[in-house]
Amino acid sequence: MKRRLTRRTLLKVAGLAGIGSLLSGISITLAPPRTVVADDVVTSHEGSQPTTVEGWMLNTRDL
Amino acid sequence: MQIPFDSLGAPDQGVDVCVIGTGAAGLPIAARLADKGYRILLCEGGDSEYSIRSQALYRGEIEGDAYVPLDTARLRYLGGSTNHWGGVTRPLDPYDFIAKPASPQTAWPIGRSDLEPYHAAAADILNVHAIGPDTEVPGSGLKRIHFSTGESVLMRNKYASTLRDSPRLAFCSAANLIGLETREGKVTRALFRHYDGRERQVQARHFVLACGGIENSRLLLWCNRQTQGRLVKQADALGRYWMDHPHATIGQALILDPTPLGLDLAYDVFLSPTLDTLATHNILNCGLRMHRMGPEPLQAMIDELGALAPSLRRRIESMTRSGNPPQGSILRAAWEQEPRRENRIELGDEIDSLGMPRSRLIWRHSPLDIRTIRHSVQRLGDYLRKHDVGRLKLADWLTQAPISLPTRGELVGRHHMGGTRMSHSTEHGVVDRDCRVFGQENLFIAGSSVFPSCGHANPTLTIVQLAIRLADHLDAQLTRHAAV
Repeated sequence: MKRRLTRRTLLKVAGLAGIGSLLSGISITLAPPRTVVADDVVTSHEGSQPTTVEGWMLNTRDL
Repeated sequence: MQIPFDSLGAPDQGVDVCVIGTGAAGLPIAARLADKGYRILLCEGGDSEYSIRSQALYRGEIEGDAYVPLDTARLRYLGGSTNHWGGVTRPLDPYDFIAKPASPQTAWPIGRSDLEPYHAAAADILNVHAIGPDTEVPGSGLKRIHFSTGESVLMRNKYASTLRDSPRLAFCSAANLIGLETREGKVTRALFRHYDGRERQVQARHFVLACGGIENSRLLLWCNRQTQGRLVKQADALGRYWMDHPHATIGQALILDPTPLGLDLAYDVFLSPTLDTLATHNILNCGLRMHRMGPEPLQAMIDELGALAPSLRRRIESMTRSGNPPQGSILRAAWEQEPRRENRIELGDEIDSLGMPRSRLIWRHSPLDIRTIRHSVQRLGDYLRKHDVGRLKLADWLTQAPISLPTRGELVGRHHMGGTRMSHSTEHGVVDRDCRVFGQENLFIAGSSVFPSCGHANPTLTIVQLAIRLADHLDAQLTRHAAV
């Protein structure tokens, strides 16, 4: 449960950061990546949110 | 045939058209009119080969944003800057000729349909290959475009036999234009000076100034000063609306699926915003260039991205294991600069060895220039991400707020445009739709200095199209006068 909440929270932050960075052009570094490692290889990006990490224009499911 | 400087202006010369400048515009005009039977005098300020005495005349002052030294951005000898032309070109887009929503100043008084009749002849001169049609990339707001990237043409080689053998084309080197005399709205004489101080005057029925995107402005400004403003009577726009194509490395991309953009078949893929995208985002035109990345930088990019995005890293590892590894692209861009009065060529304070003021370039990027590249890159990054075609990393300078363009690296395309722009009126231009200087019956300007706006395409093809169009216009004028 704790792991799930952490991941969801981080994804929410990532989504907001993505929107913010789109507007401002500022690069935003998220929390250390290993805290959001997915259990499986993501093959679909439906529902994924945009985010910018160290200049990379990513989907939140990439994280 | 080549003639010595001292024979310039000989009483029996009887010149129909005096063409000044031997670059991408001047040589095709001179050769085409000589082929039609007119007596042409072609004057080149430089020598037949590169010389320091000539090239040094191209030094100038720069004020504003970072730009390349003016004497390295162009060449001053037979063939002009085609001597370092890279051979990359394409026509302007049809919508490059209209008033774009982001800047009404982009409108030309002519459309692309006015240049299309000259495309085949220009392509033949430049050895331009067939350029494939633009194709929209669904869901991206971008279209895939193509350039001719064939072997570059050296004008002095292309026209070597014409210069040597044509009985109607007299070519003189080391003939530096230092003045134009005018009387009652007609240029009566051009004054040339040799490096050793000798001077000669030339009379002709028509004069064509084809000295490049900086010199056309400088020479007209100087000649206008000499005539107390009688040469260009309404000179408000003279030297102004000067442009280049900003160039920069804009980032890199990991390509997961190369097929939608054609990266599976081509090492270089070019993209550009559609007209809808230009209107929606209020930006100007832009050329995005994707170049296939080598294995070492690709691996470094994967390592960096994998550390930031572990889920994506697993996908990449899986793709690689299955024999379908991702590609890498280096991303560059060249884009349209907003035509603004403030960007201009002036006469500088320093005097050159011929006794004329050097050029001073005053040139700055505008907020629209920056918005154009920011939104164009954003469109590409969004498309790659949304459609899972790849992931884009913005260059550091694009992640800053506010954005400042790089002060090192490519900077510009060395495409000097504007300064003697084509317009309906003297308020915003120097020449009319036929490239004739307003207020002068027989003085014409050839070259990219007449561009009112510049799209993003490398300009050489458009320069030659306009040159052939001007040659045919002069042919019609001379024929009409002969009939009268």
